[in-house]
Amino acid sequence: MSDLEYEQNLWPRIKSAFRVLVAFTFSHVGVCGLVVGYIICGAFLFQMMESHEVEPMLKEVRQLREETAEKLLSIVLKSNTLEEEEFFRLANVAIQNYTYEIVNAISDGYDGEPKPKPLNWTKKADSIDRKEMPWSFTGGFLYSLTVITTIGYGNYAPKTAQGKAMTILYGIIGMPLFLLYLSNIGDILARGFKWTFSRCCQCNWTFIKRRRIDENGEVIEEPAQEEEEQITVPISLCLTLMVGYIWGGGLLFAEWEKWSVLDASYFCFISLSTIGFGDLVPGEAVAAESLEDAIQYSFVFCSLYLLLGMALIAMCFNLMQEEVIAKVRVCGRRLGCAR
Amino acid sequence: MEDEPEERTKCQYCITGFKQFITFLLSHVGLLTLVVGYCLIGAVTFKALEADHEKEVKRAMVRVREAVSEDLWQMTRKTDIIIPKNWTANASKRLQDFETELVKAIRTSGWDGNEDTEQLNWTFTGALFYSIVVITTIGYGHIAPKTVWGKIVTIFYAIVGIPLMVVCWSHIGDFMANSFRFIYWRVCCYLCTKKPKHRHRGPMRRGRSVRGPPGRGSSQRMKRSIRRSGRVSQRSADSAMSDSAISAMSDPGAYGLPGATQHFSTLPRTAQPKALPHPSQQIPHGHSHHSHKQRSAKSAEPELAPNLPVLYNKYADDLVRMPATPEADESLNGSKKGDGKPQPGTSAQPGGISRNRSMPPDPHRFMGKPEDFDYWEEEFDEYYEDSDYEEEDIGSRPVPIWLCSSLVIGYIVGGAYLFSNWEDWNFLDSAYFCFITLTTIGFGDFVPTQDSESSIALCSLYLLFGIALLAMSFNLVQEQVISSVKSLAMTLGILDDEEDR
Repeated sequence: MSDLEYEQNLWPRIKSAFRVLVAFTFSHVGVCGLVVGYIICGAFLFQMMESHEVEPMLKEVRQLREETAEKLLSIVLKSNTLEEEEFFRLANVAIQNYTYEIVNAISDGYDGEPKPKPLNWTKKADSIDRKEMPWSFTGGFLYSLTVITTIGYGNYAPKTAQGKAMTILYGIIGMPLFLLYLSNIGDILARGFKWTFSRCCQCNWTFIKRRRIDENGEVIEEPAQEEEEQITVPISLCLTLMVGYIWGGGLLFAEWEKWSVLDASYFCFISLSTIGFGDLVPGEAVAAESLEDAIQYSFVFCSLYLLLGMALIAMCFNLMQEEVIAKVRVCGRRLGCAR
Repeated sequence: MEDEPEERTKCQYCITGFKQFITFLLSHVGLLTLVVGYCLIGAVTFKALEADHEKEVKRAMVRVREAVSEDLWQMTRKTDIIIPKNWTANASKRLQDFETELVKAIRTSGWDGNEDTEQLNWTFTGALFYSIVVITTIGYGHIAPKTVWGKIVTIFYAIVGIPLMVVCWSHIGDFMANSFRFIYWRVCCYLCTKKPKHRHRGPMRRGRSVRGPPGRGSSQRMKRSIRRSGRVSQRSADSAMSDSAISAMSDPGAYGLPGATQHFSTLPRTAQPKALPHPSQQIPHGHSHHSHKQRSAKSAEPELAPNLPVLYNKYADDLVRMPATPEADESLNGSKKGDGKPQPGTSAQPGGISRNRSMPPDPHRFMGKPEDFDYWEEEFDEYYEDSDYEEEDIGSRPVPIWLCSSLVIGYIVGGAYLFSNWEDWNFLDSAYFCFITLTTIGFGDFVPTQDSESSIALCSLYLLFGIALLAMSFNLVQEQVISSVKSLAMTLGILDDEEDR
């Protein structure tokens, strides 16, 4: 009889456990996977759409340079006796025009002539022109990430009409998805963190409580179980965590990208707050031998850092909310606000 | 004798209303002023920090350019005979080096390509624009701090400014959402009164999951379980609801977070709110919090604070007024009511709370009548369609999604048109710029021309108002979107038909 009942109880329990598992997967892990998959799709998409812009730019600039050199030569050869002032006057005009054109080219994405490859460098790509690099896969990945997190560096931006239209569509779908991801991850991390924290606290609490009770002469030993749910993680801890993450990221990027620590921390902060100026972006200062690899690694690391960082910030806000709300409420009451 | 208490309540109501009005003024106008003042302070600070550096960079670029001609001259002078090929090759090389320097100046030093030290990026207007761009987290990057102090100050400025901006927007978004809702329903009522519809259809079980266009029968069949199981990942909505609901006080004029739009802000006649006990369901605190994140990373800040106690009261009102439903367990996560009392609407999706709030308060009609929630809902929807309820509270009725989206889209298109004329971009580029700006992505490949102050002013106003408009739209369509997503997830089988976990 009891066995039958046990079996009857067991099967629904298994089913419900399974359902819980499925729901968990879909709700938490699934969303993460969805976000990552979405970014990967975006990377491919944008890479497809924007990768063809490189060569013409480079050719144009080279042509311009040649022309200017020719023009300067003609200035030099114009008269047999070349006067300094004359030369400077004419040359300055020519160079100023040239500067203007080059500035336009730079704002369109030109980055100077590609660096000469070292002799022992195995050729992995035809050109290491940076203009091509952003729309490599990892560049597209970083770009898609900046769109859906609304960071928007802007150093890589779509130039074609379909790229822009695609960006709009991609953003419309991607941003709510990312917010969903943040909420999920923030929830999980917050719970985990709270649990860990309460466990750590509990040890202290149980200890204290037991002693107190014993001193009163009572035999009852009360574990501080009830305190668990009310334990709120202190704000200072959350803030320290955030600051530490930004600072740590700063140190890492300073090391990797050869930036100063201030620049790297500034970059981390600007990225994680989703401001995203784009004046500093990893992968710009390439100092490695294998230039392509270095840039790819930079992008990958940056993307991971951003994904994790935003989740962490979501978690911290999650944790801080209660306390902040309570504190502000207290303040409000003290100040005698109407509400 | 009867009149006196009435008068007193009327008087009380007047006084309360007046107080609320003052509070409203203080909270909204005051916030706006604060934000404006903060931007101005930022403008002055950043200009002082960065203008000199920019001038220095410009002067340096002049020297760099002149160095090119110098070098070419020296090169020419060195050789007696000029061989064209060699000369041009050398000249090309020198120009190439010059290009590298240009690239470096533009990318790292923030040179804008203009050597004129009179035309600075970091004018007062430019710095003001920069401040706005920072605290709205758009972050174009066309001007960015290059000095050490500029960067440090930017960090702290953002730390304070971004939450401030979020609070401001949420308040404004709420205000606009309420006004919009009010106007919409007034207009709707007015239009509806012209064509009277029949009041009651039978208790057909049409079930609707989406609080979609009111008055239209939802095509989706929403089971109760869907609402109940709405919990899953959409907790955020709940928590948002609950948290924001917390902010929504039972008194009219309360404003909560953008997520928590549906306060019964217009429930003057609600009884004295009584605090509800926290629901007995085991919802961890964490649940109520990440809703904010869902809504928007930005608007998730704890602006709830001043309004926090309100939520409970509000739900008390709902309890009082709403008819009982058999779904006692339908008070969902985040719904902080729920000492077992069934409430209609609360059982709805994770926006259960909000959903509840969004229902037009018409308890009298349904008091005690419907046994099951669907029937009630059905009635409720039909009620929307009917025109007989002009006197009811308009506070939390949902506004159709299509209206809000068309509003936003219209704003973007209008802005695109405006900017294409003003800035001489083509239409797609302008639309792209508007979209990128309003979503605060802010690439910076398109920015309003920095030279004219009017274009910067126009852009700032456009984006500030636009983001407020976005906040308002989110406010209005939230629960409907969430319920749609939930029912979709339900259909896809992602969510289970289980009771609350």
